[in-house]
Amino acid sequence: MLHIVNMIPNSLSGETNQDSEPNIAVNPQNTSQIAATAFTPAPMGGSNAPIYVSTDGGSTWTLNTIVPGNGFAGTSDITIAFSPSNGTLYAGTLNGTTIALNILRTGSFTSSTTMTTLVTRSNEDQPWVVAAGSGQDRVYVGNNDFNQASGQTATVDLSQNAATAPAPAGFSTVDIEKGTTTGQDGPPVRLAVHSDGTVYAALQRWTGGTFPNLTTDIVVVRDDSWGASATPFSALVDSISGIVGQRAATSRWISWNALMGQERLGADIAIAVDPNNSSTVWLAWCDRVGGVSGTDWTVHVSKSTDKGQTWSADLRTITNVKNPALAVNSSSTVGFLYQQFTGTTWDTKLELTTDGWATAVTPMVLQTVTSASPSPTFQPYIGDYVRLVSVSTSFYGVFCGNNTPNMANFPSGVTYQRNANWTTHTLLSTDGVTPVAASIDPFFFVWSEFILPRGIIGRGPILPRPINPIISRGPIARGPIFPAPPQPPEPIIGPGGPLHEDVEL
Amino acid sequence: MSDEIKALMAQAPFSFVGTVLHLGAATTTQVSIDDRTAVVQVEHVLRAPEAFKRLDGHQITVQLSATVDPPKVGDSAAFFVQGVSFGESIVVAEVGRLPVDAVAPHAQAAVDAGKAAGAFDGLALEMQQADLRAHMKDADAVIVGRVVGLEKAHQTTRSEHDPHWWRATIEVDHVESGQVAGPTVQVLYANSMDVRWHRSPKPKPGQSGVWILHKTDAGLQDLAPFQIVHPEDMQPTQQLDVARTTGE
Repeated sequence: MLHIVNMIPNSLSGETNQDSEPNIAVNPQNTSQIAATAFTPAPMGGSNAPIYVSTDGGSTWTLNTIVPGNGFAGTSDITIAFSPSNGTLYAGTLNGTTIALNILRTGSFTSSTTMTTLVTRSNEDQPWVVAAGSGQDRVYVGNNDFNQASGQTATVDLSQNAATAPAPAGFSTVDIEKGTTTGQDGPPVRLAVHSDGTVYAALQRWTGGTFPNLTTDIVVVRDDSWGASATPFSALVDSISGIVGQRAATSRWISWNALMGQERLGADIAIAVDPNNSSTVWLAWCDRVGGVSGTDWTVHVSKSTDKGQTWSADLRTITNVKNPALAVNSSSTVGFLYQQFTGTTWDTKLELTTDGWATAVTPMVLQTVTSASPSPTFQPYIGDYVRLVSVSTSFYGVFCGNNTPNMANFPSGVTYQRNANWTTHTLLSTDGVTPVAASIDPFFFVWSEFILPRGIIGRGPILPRPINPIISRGPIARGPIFPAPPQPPEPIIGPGGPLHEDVEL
Repeated sequence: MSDEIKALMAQAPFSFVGTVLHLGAATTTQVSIDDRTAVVQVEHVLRAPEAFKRLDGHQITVQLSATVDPPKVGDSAAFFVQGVSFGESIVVAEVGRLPVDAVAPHAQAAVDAGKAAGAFDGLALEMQQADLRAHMKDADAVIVGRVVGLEKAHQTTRSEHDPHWWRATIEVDHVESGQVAGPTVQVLYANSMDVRWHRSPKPKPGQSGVWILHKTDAGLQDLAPFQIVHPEDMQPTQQLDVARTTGE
C-alpha cells in the first residue's frame, strides 16, 4: 500500500517556490511524527527557516520556522534525523545566511523554539545526518570538510551522546578519507548504522581527470564500535591498495555540473545496511558509463555480504537516473528510490526487492511529470538528493517534482493539501479561485506492507482535493477552534467541527 | 502616522485589518494557547508576501504581543505580524497594532486603485529606496557604466555551491561615489546558478546600468579590485536618482 502526499500546507496554496532537495526523518518511537525539509524559505520571512512537521503519519503537514539561518531558499543544504529513542530531532544544515555548517538539535520539533546550535564550522558542504543507538543518541553527520588537510575532505562529525549535553554536545570530527585525491572528495558522504554498532560511510574519492570531467572511486569505510574505535572508520582496508577504505568501484566518470534535463549532475551515492545482518550492506551510485564522450548518468546498485570487503557486480543498473536512495526494512526487503529522466519526463520510482533483483521488479511509479516546466529558479532543480528510510516493515520517503494537479502524473494516487482544480489541472490560491503557477513541491510517501500509518487510516481512498472554492477555503474559514485549558477532556462539537483540547503533541 | 506604520512594516511582513473572534483559542493544535492567543478573522489584507495576499475572510491564530493592551472579542484593528507556523491554518505573532482609522486612508486608496493587499505599496517603495540608498552609501564605489568584457576568472571544484567567479570589464561613464581608476574597471561576479548564488548579479554583454561596487573579499583581490555579489549591486541607470535624493 502506497500513499503519496503533496506536502505544501493548505495555507500556503499561493506559494510558487522551488521547494527542491528534500529530506525526511521518522520518529521510530512514534511513526505519526515525521519531519521533512526542502529548499523552502520561511513563508513570511524572518531569521529562521522552516521544517515540515507532520503529527499524523504524513497525511497533513505544517511548516514550523525553527531552523536558524533563513535565506532566500530557507537554509542551503539541510538533512535531518530523529533520535531512535526520545523524539529529539537533529539537523545538519548549511546556514541560509552564513553558509556555515550547523549541527542542530530540538527536543520538540513541533514547538516554536529555535533549534539549538551544537556545532558551527565554515567551509563545508552537504551535511548528512543519521542517528542511532539505544539509551543514548549516537549522531553522525557526514560532510565534505574543506578545512581538512591534503584534500582528504570526506568527514564525519559524530557524538556518542548528543541528546542533552550543551554545545558541542560531544561532537568531534573524524576525517574518514585516507587515500589520495585530486584535491578533494566529492560532496556526498552517506552513512548507514546497524544496531550492533557497525557504522558504514560511503564517499566519492576524486582521483583524476580535468575539470569538469573527473574520475572517481566509490569507497566504503567502516567502524565496528559506533565510530568510537581507537582509529575510527579504519576497519575496512582496500584489498588491493592496502589503504583504509574499500573501493567498491574504481575510475568512474563524472561530468561535474553537467545537466540532465534541467537538473545538474555530479554527486549521487547511497548506502544502507540490513537491520538483520550487519554484514549485508547495499550501495548505489551514479556515473557516466559513456565516459568523457558519453551523455548518460547511470545508477548502479551493488551488494556486499562481508561487511563491505567485497562487492558484487551490478545488481541493478538504470540509465539516466539520479538521486538514488536505499533503505532496508525489518524483513530485509530492500527499498530503492530514484528519479529517472526519460527525455520528456522526470519519473520518480520506488522498487522493492526481497532477493536483490534476482527476480525482476516492477517499479512503482510515484510521479511522472514533464521535465520541461517549470523553468528552474536555481540549481538544484529537483535536488542533489532525496531520502528513503525504513521503520519496521514500512518505507518512508520524500522527493520533489512539478506540482501540476493532474492525476495522470500520479499513477499511484496522491493527496494534495493545497487548493487545486483537478479538472483544469490548475493550482489555486488561498481564496480557492485565483490560479497559481506550477512549481516544484516536496512530496511525501509511505509504503506499508500490512497496516496504514496512523492518520491515514480512516481517510478513505486517496483522492484529489475537492474542486470547490468554498470547500477549499473551508478548512481555514471554518476551521476548528481549539480552546485553551482547562477544558473538558473530550472533544466538543462546535458549529465548525470538533473542538479539541490543547494537547501537547 | 506613516513613520509609525513604516516602523511596524520593518518588523512585520504581514499586516491586515482583522476582527477578534475568540481569545484564549486557536485555529490549530500547533500552538500553545494562553490568554494572549486569539482567533482573528482577516477582513482585509493590507500588505503581505504574494502567497498571503488572498486571505480576506480567513480565520487565523494571532499570538498577541505582550507589550500591547489585549483587544476584546469583537474589536477590529490593524494587526502587524510575523509568521510562526503554516498548516491548514496559519499562526502569526503580533509585533504591533494600530486603530483601523490609522490605516483606512491607505486601504481605501489601494481599493480605489484596484490593488489587492496594496495598502502600503507606497510606503514599501519608500522603504526599499531608503534601503537602496543605504546600500549605495555603504559601497566602496558607485558607477554608471557598460559591460564591455566577460571572462572566467577563477575555477575551483570545491562544491555545488561554488560561486563560479567570472570577471566583468565595465567601461565607466560616470563615477557617482568612491575611487575608480581608469576608463574601465574589473568586477568579480558569481556566475553560478546554485541556490546560494543565483540571485547575485549576472552582467550581460553590453549591459548598462548603475554598478554598486564592493572591494573583493580576502583571497580574491588578485582577480579584480571589486565584486558585485549582493542582489542589489546591479541597478537600472534610472535608480541613480534614488541615490541622489535625500529620502526626506
